[in-house]
Amino acid sequence: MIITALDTSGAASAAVLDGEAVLAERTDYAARRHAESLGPALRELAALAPAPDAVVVGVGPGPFTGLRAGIAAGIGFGLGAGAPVSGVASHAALALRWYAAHPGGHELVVATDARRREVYATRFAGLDAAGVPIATAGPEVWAPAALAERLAAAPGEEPMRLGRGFALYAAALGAPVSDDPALLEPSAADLGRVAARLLAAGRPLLDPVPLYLREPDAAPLRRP
Amino acid sequence: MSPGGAAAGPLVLGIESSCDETGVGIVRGTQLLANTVATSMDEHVRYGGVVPEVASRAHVQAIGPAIREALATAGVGLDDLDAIAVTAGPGLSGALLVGVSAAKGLAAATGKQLYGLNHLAAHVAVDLVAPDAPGLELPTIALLVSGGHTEILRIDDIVDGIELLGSTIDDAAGEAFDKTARLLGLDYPGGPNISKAAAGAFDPEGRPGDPHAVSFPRGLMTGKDLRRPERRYAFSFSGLKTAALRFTTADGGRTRQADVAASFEQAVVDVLVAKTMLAVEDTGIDRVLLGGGVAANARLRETLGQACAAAGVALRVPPLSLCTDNGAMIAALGAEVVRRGLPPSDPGFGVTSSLEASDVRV
Repeated sequence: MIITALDTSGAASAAVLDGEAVLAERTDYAARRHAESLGPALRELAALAPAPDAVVVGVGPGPFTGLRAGIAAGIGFGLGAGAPVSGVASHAALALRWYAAHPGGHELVVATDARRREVYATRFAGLDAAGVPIATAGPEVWAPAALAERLAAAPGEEPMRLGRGFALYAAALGAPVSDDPALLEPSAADLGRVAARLLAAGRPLLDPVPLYLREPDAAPLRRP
Repeated sequence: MSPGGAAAGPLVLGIESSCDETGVGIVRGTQLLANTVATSMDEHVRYGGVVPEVASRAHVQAIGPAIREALATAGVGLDDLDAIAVTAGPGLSGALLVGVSAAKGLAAATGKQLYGLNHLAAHVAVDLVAPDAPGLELPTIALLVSGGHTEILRIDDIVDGIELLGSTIDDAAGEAFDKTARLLGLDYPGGPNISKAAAGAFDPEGRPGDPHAVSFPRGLMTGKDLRRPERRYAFSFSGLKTAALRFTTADGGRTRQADVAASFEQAVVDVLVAKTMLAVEDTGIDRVLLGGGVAANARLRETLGQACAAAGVALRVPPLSLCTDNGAMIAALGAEVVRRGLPPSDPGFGVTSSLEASDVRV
Protein backbone atom coordinates (compact mmCIF):
# COMPACT_ATOMS: atom_id res chain seq x y z
CA MET A 1 0.00 0.00 0.00
CA ILE A 2 1.40 3.37 -1.06
CA ILE A 3 1.02 6.11 1.57
CA THR A 4 1.80 9.78 1.08
CA ALA A 5 2.43 11.38 4.47
CA LEU A 6 2.83 15.01 5.52
CA ASP A 7 3.66 16.55 8.86
CA THR A 8 4.09 20.27 9.48
CA SER A 9 3.59 20.33 13.24
CA GLY A 10 7.25 21.35 13.60
CA ALA A 11 9.35 20.61 10.54
CA ALA A 12 7.98 20.78 7.00
CA SER A 13 8.04 17.13 6.06
CA ALA A 14 6.63 14.95 3.30
CA ALA A 15 7.25 11.28 2.50
CA VAL A 16 6.02 8.42 0.37
CA LEU A 17 5.99 4.92 1.81
CA ASP A 18 5.18 1.46 0.52
CA GLY A 19 3.77 -0.04 3.69
CA GLU A 20 6.42 0.79 6.28
CA ALA A 21 9.22 1.13 3.74
CA VAL A 22 10.08 4.76 3.05
CA LEU A 23 10.43 5.28 -0.70
CA ALA A 24 11.32 8.97 -0.53
CA GLU A 25 11.31 11.73 2.02
CA ARG A 26 11.71 15.50 1.94
CA THR A 27 12.10 17.11 5.34
CA ASP A 28 13.11 20.65 6.17
CA TYR A 29 13.78 20.80 9.90
CA ALA A 30 14.54 24.52 9.77
CA ALA A 31 11.26 25.33 8.07
CA ARG A 32 9.78 28.70 8.89
CA ARG A 33 7.49 28.79 5.90
CA HIS A 34 5.82 25.44 5.52
CA ALA A 35 3.68 26.16 2.47
CA GLU A 36 6.71 27.27 0.47
CA SER A 37 8.71 24.09 1.04
CA LEU A 38 5.75 21.73 0.64
CA GLY A 39 5.05 22.83 -2.94
CA PRO A 40 8.34 21.63 -4.44
CA ALA A 41 8.52 18.63 -2.06
CA LEU A 42 5.12 17.31 -3.08
CA ARG A 43 5.88 17.80 -6.79
CA GLU A 44 9.08 15.77 -6.42
CA LEU A 45 7.46 12.99 -4.43
CA ALA A 46 4.56 12.75 -6.87
CA ALA A 47 7.05 12.35 -9.72
CA LEU A 48 9.12 9.71 -7.88
CA ALA A 49 6.45 7.35 -6.59
CA PRO A 50 3.21 5.73 -7.72
CA ALA A 51 -0.09 7.39 -6.84
CA PRO A 52 -0.97 6.81 -3.19
CA ASP A 53 -3.72 4.56 -1.87
CA ALA A 54 -3.92 6.75 1.23
CA VAL A 55 -2.84 10.24 2.28
CA VAL A 56 -2.10 10.86 5.96
CA VAL A 57 -1.44 14.16 7.64
CA GLY A 58 0.01 14.94 11.05
CA VAL A 59 -2.82 16.66 12.92
CA GLY A 60 -0.47 18.06 15.54
CA PRO A 61 -0.58 19.50 18.00
CA GLY A 62 1.69 22.22 16.62
CA PRO A 63 1.76 25.95 15.87
CA PHE A 64 -1.50 26.50 14.03
CA THR A 65 -0.46 28.24 10.85
CA GLY A 66 2.25 25.77 9.89
CA LEU A 67 0.13 22.82 11.00
CA ARG A 68 -2.74 23.90 8.75
CA ALA A 69 -0.39 24.26 5.76
CA GLY A 70 0.37 20.52 5.88
CA ILE A 71 -3.22 19.48 6.51
CA ALA A 72 -4.56 21.68 3.70
CA ALA A 73 -1.85 20.42 1.35
CA GLY A 74 -2.75 16.85 2.29
CA ILE A 75 -6.42 17.49 1.63
CA GLY A 76 -5.57 18.95 -1.79
CA PHE A 77 -3.15 16.13 -2.57
CA GLY A 78 -5.68 13.47 -1.60
CA LEU A 79 -8.35 15.05 -3.78
CA GLY A 80 -5.92 15.25 -6.68
CA ALA A 81 -4.79 11.65 -6.24
CA GLY A 82 -8.28 10.31 -5.59
CA ALA A 83 -7.12 8.87 -2.25
CA PRO A 84 -8.74 9.19 1.18
CA VAL A 85 -7.13 11.67 3.59
CA SER A 86 -6.75 10.79 7.29
CA GLY A 87 -4.97 12.14 10.33
CA VAL A 88 -2.45 10.76 12.81
CA ALA A 89 -1.35 12.49 16.04
CA SER A 90 2.07 13.96 15.31
CA HIS A 91 3.63 12.98 18.65
CA ALA A 92 3.02 9.32 17.81
CA ALA A 93 5.53 9.70 14.96
CA LEU A 94 8.31 10.74 17.35
CA ALA A 95 7.35 8.03 19.82
CA LEU A 96 7.49 5.32 17.15
CA ARG A 97 10.91 6.51 15.97
CA TRP A 98 12.24 6.12 19.52
CA TYR A 99 10.60 2.78 20.28
CA ALA A 100 11.60 1.27 16.92
CA ALA A 101 15.26 1.83 17.85
CA HIS A 102 14.85 1.14 21.59
CA PRO A 103 12.46 -1.77 22.16
CA GLY A 104 11.33 -2.44 25.67
CA GLY A 105 8.39 -0.19 26.32
CA HIS A 106 10.13 2.35 28.52
CA GLU A 107 7.83 5.24 29.53
CA LEU A 108 8.29 8.20 27.18
CA VAL A 109 7.13 11.82 27.16
CA VAL A 110 7.13 13.68 23.85
CA ALA A 111 7.09 17.47 24.19
CA THR A 112 7.10 19.93 21.30
CA ASP A 113 7.01 23.70 20.96
CA ALA A 114 3.58 25.22 21.59
CA ARG A 115 4.91 28.83 21.41
CA ARG A 116 3.90 31.37 24.10
CA ARG A 117 6.44 29.75 26.45
CA GLU A 118 4.43 26.52 26.60
CA VAL A 119 4.83 22.98 25.25
CA TYR A 120 2.54 20.31 23.88
CA ALA A 121 3.14 16.99 25.66
CA THR A 122 1.98 13.39 25.25
CA ARG A 123 2.99 10.47 27.47
CA PHE A 124 3.52 7.03 25.91
CA ALA A 125 3.94 3.54 27.38
CA GLY A 126 5.51 1.39 24.67
CA LEU A 127 3.92 -0.18 21.60
CA ASP A 128 0.71 -2.14 21.39
CA ALA A 129 0.23 -5.47 19.57
CA ALA A 130 0.02 -3.65 16.23
CA GLY A 131 3.27 -1.82 16.96
CA VAL A 132 1.53 1.52 17.48
CA PRO A 133 2.69 3.79 20.34
CA ILE A 134 0.28 3.66 23.30
CA ALA A 135 -0.61 7.18 24.47
CA THR A 136 -1.49 7.19 28.18
CA ALA A 137 -1.92 10.97 28.67
CA GLY A 138 -2.27 13.97 26.38
CA PRO A 139 -1.66 15.62 24.13
CA GLU A 140 -2.08 18.66 26.34
CA VAL A 141 -0.65 22.17 26.62
CA TRP A 142 1.69 22.75 29.54
CA ALA A 143 3.76 25.55 30.99
CA PRO A 144 7.24 24.00 31.40
CA ALA A 145 7.24 24.41 35.20
CA ALA A 146 3.83 22.75 35.53
CA LEU A 147 4.87 19.85 33.30
CA ALA A 148 8.06 19.42 35.35
CA GLU A 149 5.96 19.20 38.52
CA ARG A 150 3.60 16.68 36.94
CA LEU A 151 6.51 14.51 35.76
CA ALA A 152 8.15 14.62 39.19
CA ALA A 153 4.89 13.70 40.92
CA ALA A 154 4.03 10.80 38.59
CA PRO A 155 4.58 7.37 40.17
CA GLY A 156 6.84 4.74 38.62
CA GLU A 157 9.94 5.03 36.50
CA GLU A 158 11.20 8.37 35.24
CA PRO A 159 10.12 8.69 31.58
CA MET A 160 12.49 9.26 28.68
CA ARG A 161 12.31 12.82 27.37
CA LEU A 162 11.93 13.33 23.64
CA GLY A 163 11.31 16.36 21.46
CA ARG A 164 11.98 20.04 20.87
CA GLY A 165 10.01 21.05 23.97
CA PHE A 166 12.72 19.59 26.23
CA ALA A 167 15.47 21.27 24.21
CA LEU A 168 13.72 24.65 24.48
CA TYR A 169 13.07 24.42 28.22
CA ALA A 170 15.93 22.15 29.32
CA ALA A 171 16.44 24.12 32.56
CA ALA A 172 12.89 23.44 33.74
CA LEU A 173 12.25 20.06 32.14
CA GLY A 174 15.65 18.41 31.68
CA ALA A 175 17.33 18.03 28.28
CA PRO A 176 15.93 15.59 25.69
CA VAL A 177 17.56 12.17 25.30
CA SER A 178 18.70 13.12 21.81
CA ASP A 179 19.47 16.30 19.86
CA ASP A 180 19.10 14.49 16.53
CA PRO A 181 16.73 16.73 14.51
CA ALA A 182 14.70 13.64 13.58
CA LEU A 183 14.11 13.05 17.32
CA LEU A 184 13.20 16.68 18.03
CA GLU A 185 10.41 17.20 15.46
CA PRO A 186 7.93 14.66 14.06
CA SER A 187 8.71 13.59 10.48
CA ALA A 188 6.36 12.48 7.73
CA ALA A 189 8.25 9.19 7.28
CA ASP A 190 7.62 8.21 10.91
CA LEU A 191 4.05 9.45 10.73
CA GLY A 192 3.52 7.32 7.63
CA ARG A 193 4.88 4.26 9.49
CA VAL A 194 2.38 4.81 12.31
CA ALA A 195 -0.38 5.06 9.70
CA ALA A 196 0.85 1.91 7.92
CA ARG A 197 0.67 -0.05 11.19
CA LEU A 198 -2.81 1.27 12.00
CA LEU A 199 -4.09 0.50 8.50
CA ALA A 200 -2.50 -2.97 8.46
CA ALA A 201 -4.27 -3.73 11.76
CA GLY A 202 -7.56 -2.45 10.36
CA ARG A 203 -7.66 0.31 12.97
CA PRO A 204 -9.28 3.68 12.35
CA LEU A 205 -7.23 6.83 11.74
CA LEU A 206 -8.25 10.32 12.83
CA ASP A 207 -10.06 12.89 10.71
CA PRO A 208 -7.71 15.37 9.02
CA VAL A 209 -8.61 18.06 11.55
CA PRO A 210 -5.96 20.00 13.51
CA LEU A 211 -5.57 19.25 17.23
CA TYR A 212 -5.63 22.89 18.34
CA LEU A 213 -5.93 22.37 22.13
CA ARG A 214 -6.43 26.14 22.44
CA GLU A 215 -9.34 28.41 21.62
CA PRO A 216 -8.82 31.21 19.07
CA ASP A 217 -7.12 34.17 20.72
CA ALA A 218 -10.01 36.64 20.55
CA ALA A 219 -12.47 37.96 23.06
CA PRO A 220 -16.16 37.65 22.26
CA LEU A 221 -18.06 40.94 22.41
CA ARG A 222 -19.56 41.90 25.72
CA ARG A 223 -23.12 42.93 25.26
CA PRO A 224 -25.12 44.84 27.85
CA MET B 1 -6.08 21.52 -23.49
CA SER B 2 -9.31 19.79 -22.75
CA PRO B 3 -11.45 18.48 -25.61
CA GLY B 4 -12.84 21.46 -27.49
CA GLY B 5 -10.86 23.64 -25.11
CA ALA B 6 -8.85 25.47 -27.73
CA ALA B 7 -11.95 27.24 -28.99
CA ALA B 8 -13.70 27.57 -25.64
CA GLY B 9 -10.64 28.65 -23.70
CA PRO B 10 -8.71 27.10 -20.84
CA LEU B 11 -10.51 25.22 -18.07
CA VAL B 12 -9.28 26.64 -14.77
CA LEU B 13 -10.15 25.96 -11.14
CA GLY B 14 -9.61 28.95 -8.83
CA ILE B 15 -9.27 28.93 -5.04
CA GLU B 16 -9.79 31.99 -2.84
CA SER B 17 -9.22 32.11 0.94
CA SER B 18 -7.90 35.60 1.69
CA CYS B 19 -10.50 36.55 4.30
CA ASP B 20 -13.56 34.75 5.69
CA GLU B 21 -14.88 33.18 2.49
CA THR B 22 -13.61 29.84 1.17
CA GLY B 23 -14.31 30.12 -2.54
CA VAL B 24 -13.75 27.64 -5.35
CA GLY B 25 -14.72 28.61 -8.87
CA ILE B 26 -14.35 26.93 -12.24
CA VAL B 27 -14.36 28.72 -15.59
CA ARG B 28 -13.80 27.64 -19.16
CA GLY B 29 -12.36 30.64 -20.96
CA THR B 30 -14.93 33.32 -20.28
CA GLN B 31 -17.70 30.92 -19.29
CA LEU B 32 -18.52 30.61 -15.60
CA LEU B 33 -19.16 26.95 -14.70
CA ALA B 34 -19.16 26.94 -10.89
CA ASN B 35 -18.84 29.38 -8.02
CA THR B 36 -18.91 27.59 -4.67
CA VAL B 37 -18.54 29.76 -1.57
CA ALA B 38 -18.47 28.67 2.06
CA THR B 39 -18.38 31.53 4.54
CA SER B 40 -17.41 31.64 8.21
CA MET B 41 -19.28 34.94 8.63
CA ASP B 42 -21.64 33.49 11.24
CA GLU B 43 -18.71 32.41 13.39
CA HIS B 44 -17.38 35.98 13.52
CA VAL B 45 -20.62 37.54 14.76
CA ARG B 46 -19.85 36.90 18.41
CA TYR B 47 -16.50 38.69 18.01
CA GLY B 48 -17.96 41.66 16.12
CA GLY B 49 -15.49 41.32 13.25
CA VAL B 50 -13.35 38.86 11.32
CA VAL B 51 -10.97 37.02 13.65
CA PRO B 52 -8.09 35.71 11.49
CA GLU B 53 -7.62 32.51 13.48
CA VAL B 54 -11.35 31.74 13.36
CA ALA B 55 -11.33 32.32 9.60
CA SER B 56 -8.28 30.08 9.10
CA ARG B 57 -9.85 27.27 11.11
CA ALA B 58 -12.98 27.47 9.00
CA HIS B 59 -10.97 27.45 5.74
CA VAL B 60 -9.18 24.20 6.52
CA GLN B 61 -12.54 22.54 7.26
CA ALA B 62 -14.26 23.95 4.18
CA ILE B 63 -11.62 23.68 1.48
CA GLY B 64 -11.97 19.99 0.59
CA PRO B 65 -15.77 19.95 0.38
CA ALA B 66 -15.74 23.26 -1.56
CA ILE B 67 -13.39 21.85 -4.23
CA ARG B 68 -15.52 18.71 -4.56
CA GLU B 69 -18.73 20.68 -4.80
CA ALA B 70 -17.37 23.05 -7.44
CA LEU B 71 -16.20 20.13 -9.61
CA ALA B 72 -19.60 18.46 -9.28
CA THR B 73 -21.45 21.70 -10.12
CA ALA B 74 -19.27 22.32 -13.16
CA GLY B 75 -19.56 18.69 -14.23
CA VAL B 76 -15.84 18.39 -14.85
CA GLY B 77 -13.09 16.18 -13.41
CA LEU B 78 -9.69 17.24 -12.16
CA ASP B 79 -8.09 15.54 -15.18
CA ASP B 80 -9.99 17.93 -17.46
CA LEU B 81 -8.41 21.03 -15.92
CA ASP B 82 -5.81 23.01 -17.82
CA ALA B 83 -4.55 24.80 -14.72
CA ILE B 84 -5.21 25.68 -11.09
CA ALA B 85 -5.16 29.25 -9.77
CA VAL B 86 -5.08 30.50 -6.20
CA THR B 87 -5.08 33.82 -4.36
CA ALA B 88 -1.52 34.47 -3.14
CA GLY B 89 -2.35 37.90 -1.66
CA PRO B 90 -3.21 40.44 -0.44
CA GLY B 91 -5.18 39.22 2.56
CA LEU B 92 -4.88 37.55 5.97
CA SER B 93 -1.71 35.48 5.76
CA GLY B 94 -2.95 32.51 7.82
CA ALA B 95 -6.13 32.39 5.76
CA LEU B 96 -4.29 32.72 2.43
CA LEU B 97 -1.97 29.91 3.48
CA VAL B 98 -4.79 27.37 3.65
CA GLY B 99 -5.89 28.01 0.07
CA VAL B 100 -2.33 28.13 -1.26
CA SER B 101 -1.38 24.90 0.54
CA ALA B 102 -4.46 23.06 -0.70
CA ALA B 103 -3.80 24.33 -4.23
CA LYS B 104 -0.20 23.16 -4.07
CA GLY B 105 -1.28 19.70 -2.94
CA LEU B 106 -3.91 19.52 -5.65
CA ALA B 107 -1.47 20.70 -8.33
CA ALA B 108 1.26 18.29 -7.21
CA ALA B 109 -1.03 15.26 -7.25
CA THR B 110 -2.62 16.10 -10.61
CA GLY B 111 0.52 17.46 -12.28
CA LYS B 112 -1.38 20.61 -13.25
CA GLN B 113 0.30 23.98 -13.47
CA LEU B 114 -0.38 26.35 -10.59
CA TYR B 115 -0.73 30.13 -10.74
CA GLY B 116 -0.55 32.32 -7.62
CA LEU B 117 -2.63 35.40 -8.37
CA ASN B 118 -3.60 38.80 -6.98
CA HIS B 119 -6.93 39.13 -5.17
CA LEU B 120 -7.44 42.76 -6.20
CA ALA B 121 -6.87 42.13 -9.90
CA ALA B 122 -9.24 39.17 -9.65
CA HIS B 123 -12.02 41.40 -8.28
CA VAL B 124 -11.84 43.25 -11.62
CA ALA B 125 -11.11 40.20 -13.80
CA VAL B 126 -14.36 38.63 -12.64
CA ASP B 127 -16.16 40.69 -15.26
CA LEU B 128 -14.49 38.50 -17.89
CA VAL B 129 -16.90 35.74 -16.85
CA ALA B 130 -19.91 37.71 -15.57
CA PRO B 131 -22.92 36.22 -17.36
CA ASP B 132 -24.61 39.64 -17.66
CA ALA B 133 -21.72 41.44 -19.38
CA PRO B 134 -20.00 41.15 -22.77
CA GLY B 135 -16.66 40.95 -20.96
CA LEU B 136 -14.28 43.24 -19.15
CA GLU B 137 -14.26 46.68 -20.74
CA LEU B 138 -10.99 48.55 -20.43
CA PRO B 139 -9.56 50.95 -19.54
CA THR B 140 -11.52 51.44 -16.35
CA ILE B 141 -11.21 52.97 -12.94
CA ALA B 142 -12.02 50.34 -10.32
CA LEU B 143 -13.32 51.08 -6.85
CA LEU B 144 -12.87 48.03 -4.61
CA VAL B 145 -14.53 48.23 -1.22
CA SER B 146 -14.84 45.40 1.29
CA GLY B 147 -14.12 44.42 4.88
CA GLY B 148 -10.43 44.34 4.11
CA HIS B 149 -10.00 46.65 1.14
CA THR B 150 -10.63 50.21 0.03
CA GLU B 151 -8.77 50.86 -3.20
CA ILE B 152 -9.00 52.95 -6.33
CA LEU B 153 -7.21 51.28 -9.23
CA ARG B 154 -6.51 52.30 -12.79
CA ILE B 155 -6.83 49.25 -15.03
CA ASP B 156 -5.40 49.49 -18.55
CA ASP B 157 -4.72 45.76 -18.83
CA ILE B 158 -5.87 43.08 -16.41
CA VAL B 159 -2.45 41.39 -16.30
CA ASP B 160 0.14 44.03 -17.19
CA GLY B 161 -1.54 47.34 -16.58
CA ILE B 162 -2.80 47.82 -13.05
CA GLU B 163 -1.90 50.93 -11.10
CA LEU B 164 -2.94 51.59 -7.53
CA LEU B 165 -4.10 55.21 -7.39
CA GLY B 166 -5.09 55.24 -3.75
CA SER B 167 -6.06 53.11 -0.78
CA THR B 168 -6.96 53.53 2.85
CA ILE B 169 -4.24 54.74 5.19
CA ASP B 170 -5.94 53.16 8.21
CA ASP B 171 -9.19 51.13 8.33
CA ALA B 172 -10.92 49.61 5.32
CA ALA B 173 -14.41 50.99 4.73
CA GLY B 174 -15.94 47.67 5.73
CA GLU B 175 -14.00 47.70 9.00
CA ALA B 176 -15.31 51.21 9.76
CA PHE B 177 -18.81 49.87 9.21
CA ASP B 178 -18.15 46.91 11.53
CA LYS B 179 -16.73 49.05 14.33
CA THR B 180 -19.49 51.66 14.13
CA ALA B 181 -22.13 48.93 13.97
CA ARG B 182 -20.83 47.69 17.33
CA LEU B 183 -21.23 51.21 18.79
CA LEU B 184 -24.82 51.25 17.60
CA GLY B 185 -25.50 47.81 19.08
CA LEU B 186 -25.70 46.20 15.65
CA ASP B 187 -24.23 42.80 14.76
CA TYR B 188 -21.39 41.90 12.43
CA PRO B 189 -21.30 42.26 9.46
CA GLY B 190 -21.64 45.97 10.08
CA GLY B 191 -22.17 47.17 6.52
CA PRO B 192 -25.46 45.38 5.79
CA ASN B 193 -26.73 46.03 9.31
CA ILE B 194 -25.92 49.77 9.22
CA SER B 195 -27.68 49.93 5.84
CA LYS B 196 -30.73 48.22 7.28
CA ALA B 197 -30.73 50.55 10.27
CA ALA B 198 -30.34 53.56 7.96
CA ALA B 199 -33.28 52.36 5.89
CA GLY B 200 -35.38 52.25 9.05
CA ALA B 201 -35.56 48.46 9.33
CA PHE B 202 -34.93 48.59 13.10
CA ASP B 203 -36.93 51.80 13.70
CA PRO B 204 -40.16 51.25 15.66
CA GLU B 205 -42.09 53.19 13.00
CA GLY B 206 -39.95 51.95 10.12
CA ARG B 207 -38.94 55.53 9.34
CA PRO B 208 -35.71 55.77 7.25
CA GLY B 209 -32.79 57.73 8.71
CA ASP B 210 -31.88 61.27 7.65
CA PRO B 211 -28.39 61.15 6.11
CA HIS B 212 -27.84 64.79 7.06
CA ALA B 213 -29.00 64.48 10.69
CA VAL B 214 -25.48 64.17 12.08
CA SER B 215 -22.51 66.02 10.64
CA PHE B 216 -19.72 63.44 10.38
CA PRO B 217 -16.25 64.26 9.00
CA ARG B 218 -15.16 63.32 5.47
CA GLY B 219 -11.59 62.02 5.74
CA LEU B 220 -8.76 63.38 3.54
CA MET B 221 -11.11 65.70 1.66
CA THR B 222 -9.60 69.12 2.51
CA GLY B 223 -8.19 71.20 -0.32
CA LYS B 224 -4.72 70.53 1.06
CA ASP B 225 -5.32 66.75 1.02
CA LEU B 226 -6.59 66.88 -2.53
CA ARG B 227 -3.53 68.84 -3.70
CA ARG B 228 -1.12 66.24 -2.33
CA PRO B 229 -0.77 63.41 -4.87
CA GLU B 230 -0.34 60.71 -2.21
CA ARG B 231 -3.53 61.83 -0.46
CA ARG B 232 -5.67 62.79 -3.43
CA TYR B 233 -7.10 59.28 -3.89
CA ALA B 234 -6.36 58.02 -0.39
CA PHE B 235 -8.94 57.21 2.27
CA SER B 236 -8.99 57.50 6.04
CA PHE B 237 -11.86 56.20 8.11
CA SER B 238 -10.34 56.27 11.60
CA GLY B 239 -11.37 59.92 12.19
CA LEU B 240 -14.91 59.08 11.16
CA LYS B 241 -14.95 56.08 13.49
CA THR B 242 -13.73 58.27 16.38
CA ALA B 243 -16.32 60.91 15.55
CA ALA B 244 -19.02 58.24 15.65
CA LEU B 245 -17.76 57.07 19.06
CA ARG B 246 -17.70 60.66 20.42
CA PHE B 247 -21.13 61.38 19.03
CA THR B 248 -22.83 58.26 20.39
CA THR B 249 -21.19 58.74 23.80
CA ALA B 250 -22.24 62.42 24.06
CA ASP B 251 -25.64 61.84 22.52
CA GLY B 252 -26.60 59.13 24.99
CA GLY B 253 -29.17 57.62 22.63
CA ARG B 254 -31.23 60.80 22.03
CA THR B 255 -30.70 60.74 18.25
CA ARG B 256 -32.50 57.97 16.41
CA GLN B 257 -30.32 54.99 15.48
CA ALA B 258 -31.60 55.28 11.91
CA ASP B 259 -30.36 58.89 11.68
CA VAL B 260 -26.90 58.06 13.04
CA ALA B 261 -26.60 55.04 10.75
CA ALA B 262 -27.74 56.97 7.66
CA SER B 263 -25.41 59.89 8.41
CA PHE B 264 -22.46 57.57 8.97
CA GLU B 265 -23.18 55.62 5.81
CA GLN B 266 -23.48 58.85 3.81
CA ALA B 267 -20.13 60.09 5.14
CA VAL B 268 -18.40 56.88 3.97
CA VAL B 269 -20.18 56.87 0.62
CA ASP B 270 -19.49 60.57 -0.09
CA VAL B 271 -15.73 60.09 0.20
CA LEU B 272 -15.70 56.86 -1.82
CA VAL B 273 -17.66 58.50 -4.62
CA ALA B 274 -15.84 61.85 -4.57
CA LYS B 275 -12.40 60.25 -4.83
CA THR B 276 -13.49 57.82 -7.53
CA MET B 277 -14.82 60.72 -9.58
CA LEU B 278 -11.53 62.61 -9.07
CA ALA B 279 -9.72 59.59 -10.55
CA VAL B 280 -12.14 59.62 -13.49
CA GLU B 281 -11.57 63.33 -14.12
CA ASP B 282 -7.81 63.17 -13.74
CA THR B 283 -7.32 60.16 -16.01
CA GLY B 284 -10.01 60.92 -18.58
CA ILE B 285 -11.15 57.29 -18.29
CA ASP B 286 -14.91 57.16 -18.82
CA ARG B 287 -15.68 53.89 -17.05
CA VAL B 288 -15.95 52.81 -13.42
CA LEU B 289 -16.16 49.27 -12.07
CA LEU B 290 -17.37 48.77 -8.51
CA GLY B 291 -16.27 45.58 -6.75
CA GLY B 292 -15.92 44.05 -3.29
CA GLY B 293 -18.57 43.14 -0.75
CA VAL B 294 -19.53 46.76 -0.02
CA ALA B 295 -20.84 46.93 -3.60
CA ALA B 296 -23.95 45.46 -1.95
CA ASN B 297 -24.53 48.84 -0.29
CA ALA B 298 -27.53 50.45 -1.98
CA ARG B 299 -26.57 54.00 -0.98
CA LEU B 300 -23.11 53.54 -2.51
CA ARG B 301 -24.47 52.09 -5.74
CA GLU B 302 -27.06 54.84 -6.01
CA THR B 303 -24.74 57.75 -5.19
CA LEU B 304 -21.97 56.45 -7.43
CA GLY B 305 -24.52 55.81 -10.18
CA GLN B 306 -25.76 59.41 -10.01
CA ALA B 307 -22.22 60.83 -10.02
CA CYS B 308 -21.23 58.68 -13.00
CA ALA B 309 -24.39 59.58 -14.90
CA ALA B 310 -23.78 63.28 -14.27
CA ALA B 311 -20.21 62.94 -15.55
CA GLY B 312 -21.21 60.86 -18.57
CA VAL B 313 -19.27 57.88 -17.25
CA ALA B 314 -20.37 54.23 -17.50
CA LEU B 315 -20.73 52.43 -14.17
CA ARG B 316 -20.41 48.67 -14.06
CA VAL B 317 -21.31 46.62 -11.00
CA PRO B 318 -20.93 42.85 -11.50
CA PRO B 319 -23.62 40.62 -9.96
CA LEU B 320 -23.26 40.68 -6.19
CA SER B 321 -22.27 36.99 -5.94
CA LEU B 322 -19.23 37.93 -8.06
CA CYS B 323 -18.47 41.13 -6.08
CA THR B 324 -18.02 39.43 -2.71
CA ASP B 325 -14.92 37.25 -2.38
CA ASN B 326 -15.22 34.13 -4.52
CA GLY B 327 -13.18 31.56 -6.38
CA ALA B 328 -14.66 32.31 -9.80
CA MET B 329 -12.80 35.61 -9.92
CA ILE B 330 -9.49 33.81 -9.36
CA ALA B 331 -10.39 31.22 -11.98
CA ALA B 332 -11.36 34.03 -14.40
CA LEU B 333 -8.02 35.77 -13.97
CA GLY B 334 -6.27 32.40 -14.16
CA ALA B 335 -7.97 31.56 -17.45
CA GLU B 336 -6.86 34.89 -18.91
CA VAL B 337 -3.26 34.35 -17.74
CA VAL B 338 -3.26 30.82 -19.23
CA ARG B 339 -4.84 32.08 -22.46
CA ARG B 340 -1.92 34.48 -22.82
CA GLY B 341 0.53 31.58 -22.43
CA LEU B 342 2.17 33.07 -19.35
CA PRO B 343 4.34 30.76 -17.21
CA PRO B 344 3.02 29.25 -13.94
CA SER B 345 4.31 30.34 -10.54
CA ASP B 346 7.36 28.69 -9.02
CA PRO B 347 6.15 25.79 -6.82
CA GLY B 348 7.97 27.42 -3.89
CA PHE B 349 5.88 30.60 -3.92
CA GLY B 350 4.44 31.84 -0.66
CA VAL B 351 1.62 34.07 0.46
CA THR B 352 2.08 37.85 0.57
CA SER B 353 -0.40 39.55 2.85
CA SER B 354 0.42 43.00 1.44
CA LEU B 355 0.85 41.99 -2.22
CA GLU B 356 0.91 45.14 -4.41
CA ALA B 357 -2.02 45.64 -6.77
CA SER B 358 0.33 45.81 -9.76
CA ASP B 359 1.80 42.36 -8.98
CA VAL B 360 -0.92 40.36 -10.71
CA ARG B 361 1.06 37.09 -10.73
CA VAL B 362 3.54 35.83 -8.12
